[in-house]
Amino acid sequence: MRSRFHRATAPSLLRHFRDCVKGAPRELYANVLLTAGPADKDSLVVIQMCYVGPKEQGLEYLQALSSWTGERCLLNEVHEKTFLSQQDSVAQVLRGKRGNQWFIRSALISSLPDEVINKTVLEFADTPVGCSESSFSPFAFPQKRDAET
Amino acid sequence: MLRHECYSLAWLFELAGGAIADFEGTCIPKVQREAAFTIAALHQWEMGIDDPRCVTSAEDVRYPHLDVFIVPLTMIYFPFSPVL
Repeated sequence: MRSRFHRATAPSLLRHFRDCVKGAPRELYANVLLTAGPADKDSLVVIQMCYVGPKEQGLEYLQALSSWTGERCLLNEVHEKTFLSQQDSVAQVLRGKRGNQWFIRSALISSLPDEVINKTVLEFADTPVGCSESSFSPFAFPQKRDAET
Repeated sequence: MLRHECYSLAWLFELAGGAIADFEGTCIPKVQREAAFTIAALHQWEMGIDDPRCVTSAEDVRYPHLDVFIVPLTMIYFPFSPVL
């Protein structure tokens, strides 16, 4: 599921995600991504989920996650799919390319308080979208992630 | 002189849990495996670009108030795209 990133509404969506999935049975896998999205498109909030169990039970989580109304859902492609098609979707939203180098910094946390959500959204909103090419100035023409409204 | 920079940052909040907390005597302490969420900064850049900010901009992000939680930090470096 994808929604356009906006710093004013993204914290609400992340809190909704947290409240829907916390304490869920182990059959549920879920994550939410703040990402630049496909090239030449706006930044996105992407929720991914997988339920390893009866479809009806998984649909309950899908419906709960989908009930957030703060922004329009741009795409909902939660259905049975092949591993490769799922990986292609992830590559698109992360702008992944063959040969890129990756660096991942992570932390395990026992809860996801509002303060962490708010701080992370602001951190993401203020980071220029990658890939710029400039003469001398390292920060020439960074693309903003969203409008400052 | 033309300078290239190419780095992209994404943030991931991932539901943790599952069966990994069921086991004893593993190399990762159980208290860490019982964490509720993973939060991660993902950076990527093109091969051949030598810009330290590709790494340091992730290092610059700190959550001092999270010291009260379980905070084992992990760094994973992939010389090539793992699955993407």
